[in-house]
Amino acid sequence: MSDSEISRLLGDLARGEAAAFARLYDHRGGRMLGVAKALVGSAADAEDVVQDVFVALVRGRRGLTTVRDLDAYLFRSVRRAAWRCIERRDRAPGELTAEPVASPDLVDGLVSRDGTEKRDDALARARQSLPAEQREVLALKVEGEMTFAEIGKMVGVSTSTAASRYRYALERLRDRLATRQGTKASEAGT
Amino acid sequence: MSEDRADLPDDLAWLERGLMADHAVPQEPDAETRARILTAVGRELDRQRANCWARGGLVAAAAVVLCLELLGQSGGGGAGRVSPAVLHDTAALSTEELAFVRELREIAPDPVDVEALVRFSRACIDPTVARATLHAGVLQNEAKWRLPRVAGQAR
Repeated sequence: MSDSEISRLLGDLARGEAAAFARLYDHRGGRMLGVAKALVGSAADAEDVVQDVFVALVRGRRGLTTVRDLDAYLFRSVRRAAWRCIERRDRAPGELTAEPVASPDLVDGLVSRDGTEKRDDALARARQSLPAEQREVLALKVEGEMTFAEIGKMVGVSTSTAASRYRYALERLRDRLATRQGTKASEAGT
Repeated sequence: MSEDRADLPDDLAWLERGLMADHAVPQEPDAETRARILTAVGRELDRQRANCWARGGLVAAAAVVLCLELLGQSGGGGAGRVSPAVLHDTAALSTEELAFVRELREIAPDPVDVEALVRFSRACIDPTVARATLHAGVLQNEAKWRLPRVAGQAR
């Protein structure tokens, strides 16, 4: 979507045209859902998060004409809504939970296409076991398709810190996978 | 490290490729989710419109039309009918507000038939509410003194 198209879209949104909200959903809804799911760890909660964001957009629509970076605005909104969602689940206020949602012992490896459903589910759980700040950067990078500079600006850290958190997140996921692979190998040997 | 690349060892780069590849797999459009979210949007827009009616927003819309016409901002020079495009862009009237304006014009076909417009507006809502709406910034600055004057003319 070009700058002029985004500008036109923002104007239509500000006027409260329902079709404009449908255009916005078709343009960014998928990525918003992806980031939300990676943050809150549940598809159903992610839908609630994105719905909350869209309803909030309607409520504040008259201010949308002043938005300069639509993507940054949307993902910042998703991030805030995800926090609220997690708080509603009785987690620590103001923070994404660092507690593992589930044991990552179901991770079966990333490359195999066998048992995709089980693998995806296990990987999602492994991601939920990451510390909040790492999980957030990973979600914004992978599902949000944002640069480290954009992520750093959004979460209030430097570009290099954002990149470091991303690397730490990958290292932790790798270690989880390695542990699982080792366990499976030793089970096969006994 | 470049701005957008974490220098990753092979095993992490492999992991990253896996995550990115998973994300890149086209997902079936979830029509149900889309419908649910856009239904929520529609409900909120309806709620806002209902609120707008209740607070005299439509009266304000009529006043915008009056003011623009009285001020001669018809786009053709001089007083006269203001085109829907001007109302949409300059006055930022919504589709529903434009529909209301059309309804008003059926009642008052003369663009300067102020009395009929104000009478209809009063039938809809207390004029004090309309004035409060002006202060909410719905109208252009000129409208702040035009509407009371218009109302005075109609008495």
